[in-house]
Amino acid sequence: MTDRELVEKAKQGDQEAFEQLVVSNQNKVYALALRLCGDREEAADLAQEAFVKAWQGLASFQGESSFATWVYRLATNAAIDHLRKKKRREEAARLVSLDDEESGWAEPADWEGDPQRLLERSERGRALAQAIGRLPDWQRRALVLRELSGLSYQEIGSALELDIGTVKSRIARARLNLRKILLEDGNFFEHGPSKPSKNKDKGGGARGM
Amino acid sequence: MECDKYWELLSARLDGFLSAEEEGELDAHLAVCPDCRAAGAQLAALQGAFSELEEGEAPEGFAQGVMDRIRAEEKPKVVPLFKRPQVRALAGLAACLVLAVGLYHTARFSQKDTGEDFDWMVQSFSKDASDAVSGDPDTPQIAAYAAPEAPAASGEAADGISPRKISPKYSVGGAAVSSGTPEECAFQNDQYLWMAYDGDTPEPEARIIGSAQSLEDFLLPLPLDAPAEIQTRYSEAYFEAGRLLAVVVTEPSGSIRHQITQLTHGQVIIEQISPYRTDDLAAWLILAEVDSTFQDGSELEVTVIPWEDHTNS
Repeated sequence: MTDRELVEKAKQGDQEAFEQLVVSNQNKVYALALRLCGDREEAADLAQEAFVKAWQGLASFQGESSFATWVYRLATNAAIDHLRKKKRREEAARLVSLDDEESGWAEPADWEGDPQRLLERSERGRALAQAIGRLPDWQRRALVLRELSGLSYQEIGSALELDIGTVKSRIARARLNLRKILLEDGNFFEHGPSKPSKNKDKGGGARGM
Repeated sequence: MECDKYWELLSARLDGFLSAEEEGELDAHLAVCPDCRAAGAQLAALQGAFSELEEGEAPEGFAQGVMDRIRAEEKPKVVPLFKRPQVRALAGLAACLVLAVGLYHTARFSQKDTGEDFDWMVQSFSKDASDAVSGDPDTPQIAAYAAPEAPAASGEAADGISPRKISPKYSVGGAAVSSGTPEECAFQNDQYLWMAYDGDTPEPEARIIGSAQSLEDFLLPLPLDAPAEIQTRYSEAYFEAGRLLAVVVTEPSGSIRHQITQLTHGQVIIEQISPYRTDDLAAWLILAEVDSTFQDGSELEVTVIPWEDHTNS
């Protein structure tokens, strides 16, 4: 049964149909949440929340985009909400704010320690995933919202409460840091195409959708 | 390093967010800078690699967890009284229920006219109720309802509420609804905020808020996720020239959605724009911006038009 057919059944209240939709989309949604939050438990919670919201909002889902895109967007919003609340709490407790550029590199704990969990399609994918994990939170989030969630600079700006200039420079720095990390790795750029013309993807757009 | 600026442009180009002028600048630089050309190619390769990121594997039991949460949210936190055998009779409901949804007639009343005075209904509820339960005669004027089941067949347990049997317009607050309501008022920026159903539901009520203090007092007891956001948005400055219409509605299904369709100084009409689907309980706070011809603290009659009255779904 196609996603579209499952959605139709789920709209009628068919929970089993909806469960199938969950199963077929859970990995992608979970991965996004994980890359945005950095914490496995939080990510699982947010990803689940996204699906629950999808169930509750099924009546208003028109089907103009695919179900996957829609849930992806719900998950992005849930993660952004969560991060914002976290930021408020931390600011209130006078802890490090999300915006603190001085706090250095994030611990790459979450997925580097569990490589089996991430099924990478390729060496390059795996290397990239690990490099992403080593970025500071604030850079990783901006980049993931751009590359995975496909948000525009404007949307990222409102999501993270930053002006566009900051969004642009964070994403640029994130990319440059990734490049630096992967150059040290040694293999990444040798496997990849050396000429831009061989690249499959240019320009913006959500990945993996 | 001088090339910093151009690396940012390279990054922006990958996203398609370069102006024509910036493109020109960048291209001019790339023509003379091999380092940046190489960096540009590498950044492009990086972007390409994102599509090779396979999804991480969701933890075991993830889907099950989702379905469990869905079921938990659909289970009423209070056992819906219309499911209890002893309250199949309408009468029992009025006194026992805190539910005060006021949306549905029972089949018994389905013959009644649209213009039926609701107070009459409630009185008859209360009267019967005092027989069935040690009801407090001062119980709030609950617009209680039972599942609008088959007429007189209320011997059946209400498994779920069938939305198709909901009878036409009713209103809470007593006065009959007349068409061609005079002096329609404008409203804007209507918002529909879901609230956690905490089992303590007043009847649908609409009130005008005219000051930040009124707003704070009003929001205080409500089970909202983020009341502070509302207060930030509607601060003293807003209330200098504006007022807020605030409506609280409780529904027997979380899938029902609303839309304000008409507003006068004495009444607000709200339509259900999506049907009852799942059997649960949900509460909504509906806000709308209105002008200062409305008085702080005044209460409006609320009319909710059920789903079936729509000519198209």
